[in-house]
Amino acid sequence: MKVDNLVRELKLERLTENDIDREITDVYIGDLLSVVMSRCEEGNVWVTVQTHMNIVSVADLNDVACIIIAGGTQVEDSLIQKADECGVCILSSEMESYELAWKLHEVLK
Amino acid sequence: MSSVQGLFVYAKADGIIYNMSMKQHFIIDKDDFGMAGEASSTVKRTLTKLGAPPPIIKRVAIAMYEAEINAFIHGGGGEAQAEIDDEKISIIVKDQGKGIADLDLAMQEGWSTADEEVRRMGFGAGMGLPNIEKNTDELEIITGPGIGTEVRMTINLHKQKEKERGNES
Repeated sequence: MKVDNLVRELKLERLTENDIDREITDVYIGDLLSVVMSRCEEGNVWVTVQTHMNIVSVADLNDVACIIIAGGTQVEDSLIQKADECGVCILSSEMESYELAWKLHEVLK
Repeated sequence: MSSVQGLFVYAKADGIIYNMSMKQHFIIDKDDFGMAGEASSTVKRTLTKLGAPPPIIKRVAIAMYEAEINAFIHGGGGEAQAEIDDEKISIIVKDQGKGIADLDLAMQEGWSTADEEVRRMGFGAGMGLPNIEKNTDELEIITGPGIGTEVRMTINLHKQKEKERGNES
């Protein structure tokens, strides 16, 4: 499944304007950045509650398909700006990480 | 923020880098959180453009990111340097922070001196140095109270160290 299908299926909000025509390889959920760095894989959907600037670097280094910010957490404009510059796609959902995991499993299986 | 110090002739074929030497230098500014990780991202992009094998790029990204973030969080900023040649990627990350008092302890997974605020941001899991150790072929850490920390890492392009390799921890 591609990111743009996922946006429609889970009614995700697009925070960045860049590319969502990207194939999803798997899902990784985590908020400890060192753990995400070592375990998240290329093309993954990364679900996190972290919203500070460094998540863009982690997403970029792991070449994730997109970040989904769980729990409807508000993000700052500076984050969006940096993500757009780096070509990192950030999506947002009102769902918490567990519910997102459940829904992601259903649509990606 | 970064500067390319030397760029010589290079060519790539079948994902192998030939006849190349390149050095990049970065300042890690403790007051610019938005730039933390930028040095690692730049080196990753360079290696991708040069056609380095993806598993090598992943190891460089992990090791350099961890060292860069450490310099940012614990070292009050510093500098980083990456040198790429036919054989290896050599990275030095250096800060003038308070240094690591007990390096053996710091190499253990889960051990961290990070404060609450930093932990809330998802850092300070005590995975940084162990992640660096796992993903490098050679690692030298020069540190001590009052002398800052210098992390020297080498990742071989073709020949990996004997021990079992993997990004899992």
